[in-house]
Amino acid sequence: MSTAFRDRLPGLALSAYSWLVVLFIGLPLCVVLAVSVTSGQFLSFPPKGFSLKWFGAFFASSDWMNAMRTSLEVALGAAVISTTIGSALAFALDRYEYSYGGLLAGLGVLPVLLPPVIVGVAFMIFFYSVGFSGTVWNLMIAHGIFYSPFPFILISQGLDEIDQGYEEAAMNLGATPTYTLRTITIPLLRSNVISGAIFAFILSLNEYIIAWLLSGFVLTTIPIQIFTSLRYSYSPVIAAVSVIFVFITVVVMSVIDYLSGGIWE
Amino acid sequence: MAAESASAAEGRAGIRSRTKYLVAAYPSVLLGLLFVIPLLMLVVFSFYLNVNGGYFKPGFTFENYVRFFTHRLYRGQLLFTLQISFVTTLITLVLGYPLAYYLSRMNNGLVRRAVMILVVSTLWITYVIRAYVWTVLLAKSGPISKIGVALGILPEPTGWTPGYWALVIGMAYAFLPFMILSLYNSLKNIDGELIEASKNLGAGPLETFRRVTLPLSKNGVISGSALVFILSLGVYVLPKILGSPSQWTIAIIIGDQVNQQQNIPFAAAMSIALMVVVVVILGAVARFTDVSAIGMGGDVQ
Repeated sequence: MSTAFRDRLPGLALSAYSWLVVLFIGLPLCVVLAVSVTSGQFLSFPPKGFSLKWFGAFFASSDWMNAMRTSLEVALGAAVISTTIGSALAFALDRYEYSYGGLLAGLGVLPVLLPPVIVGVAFMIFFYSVGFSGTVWNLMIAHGIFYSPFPFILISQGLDEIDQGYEEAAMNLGATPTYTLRTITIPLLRSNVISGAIFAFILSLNEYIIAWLLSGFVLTTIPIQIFTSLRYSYSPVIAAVSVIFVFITVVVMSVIDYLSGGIWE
Repeated sequence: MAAESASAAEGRAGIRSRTKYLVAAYPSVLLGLLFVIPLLMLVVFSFYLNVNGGYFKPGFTFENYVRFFTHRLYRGQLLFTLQISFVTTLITLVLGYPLAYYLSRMNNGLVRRAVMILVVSTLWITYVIRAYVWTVLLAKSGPISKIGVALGILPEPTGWTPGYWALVIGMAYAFLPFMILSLYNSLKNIDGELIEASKNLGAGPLETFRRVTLPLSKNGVISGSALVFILSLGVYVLPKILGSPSQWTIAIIIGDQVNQQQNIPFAAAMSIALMVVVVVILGAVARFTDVSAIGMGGDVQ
């Protein structure tokens, strides 16, 4: 019996340790959720009583609503920019041979590997020099470029996995290349394209430092607004906003997972 | 990866030599115009002269770089950034490897998927929120302090924010998912039969792990560590919320030079220095392992 136990011990220890790490990842989210429904005036844990008033306060505040609108506009624009760049680049590199293909592929992944503060300062100098700054367009462009590697990588993987046989069959049956592309290739890639766009959207929605450097103190996104609020007060509204954001994020990630049939498998 | 597989298979849709450059033109022009040019301008600006009052003058001086590398304050913050990035990488490896291994060997697909969604979901939450969570948890009136006092571990209510360990915990929390994903991807690709074979040949679980699993997951460990280290080098929000000024990283110094001191050339020079560190690490990873830049980027998802 003791040898059986000794054999199982590493497995048991591993599973206990692993679940502790899962707890470390999940517990903070539960704490924000708990704090957001406090009926007290300040952030405290454990929360005092139960109330949804801080969610009401969020939707009633014009500051938060403005920040939300800016965030959504920027994220939408960034998703469009990054997905068009990513899909065109992935398609080009998959279908054709370029003498500078390796360079292009490197350029496709580099933006997101650089520290965002560098990308932010570079864009700030650039926009300042061309005399165009402090608008939502600046944020959209910067986020669109910075996050373009995600759609690029996802769509490259999709193109890699497509069975060439489908395309060949279509063309052997007399379909033109364009028709094949439209009826075979693009539908097969749909989930990769959608996932890529949603990735960029979510990341842009949550990005702080680039947005702050380019905001020129006129624009406010949700992360900027949270950061500013933290300086002055620890109002439970911040927890409520966090819960709304986490909720959006988890729902969207589960949808991607479902759409792509388990992208993390 | 994509570049290598770009065989000009004649049967594939969309093959037309004249469209070849048309397709590549759009991403090339946008990335060239809106990514390469801003970076080149950053290089140019790093040699400009600073003029008091937030202005700068075109010129060519090494003054900004000299100031960065000779001033004790800046050199100290650069070393601090490297140090805390190293500590963070180590902690995420220690926390992430067992979990990634456990998940890769788990039979219950539903539980595995739920844990993966949890891990990946936290990844997309703004650093502002993730840092804020730890200010609540590690506050003097927070739950950890209360539990510590109740259990008699802490003599009195204790707060850890702002402070070094609060920052380390916050950074480990923020970057752990990247580590788990990198490791999981490489661990799940290990052929289960190799592990079985090792066990059948009489090796115990620990020996099998040391002699079979660990060497086979080397690439995941390297790419995950490089990724976490690079991400840690650029942290801005976490030290600003969880650290005190002595724990401000190089990214904060850069942001401060931009918005408070309005010394753009100096900020540009520091950005270039930081970028060189990142590019050297990326180059080293690509050179000494078979992990390509795309492979590493791929783990980001």
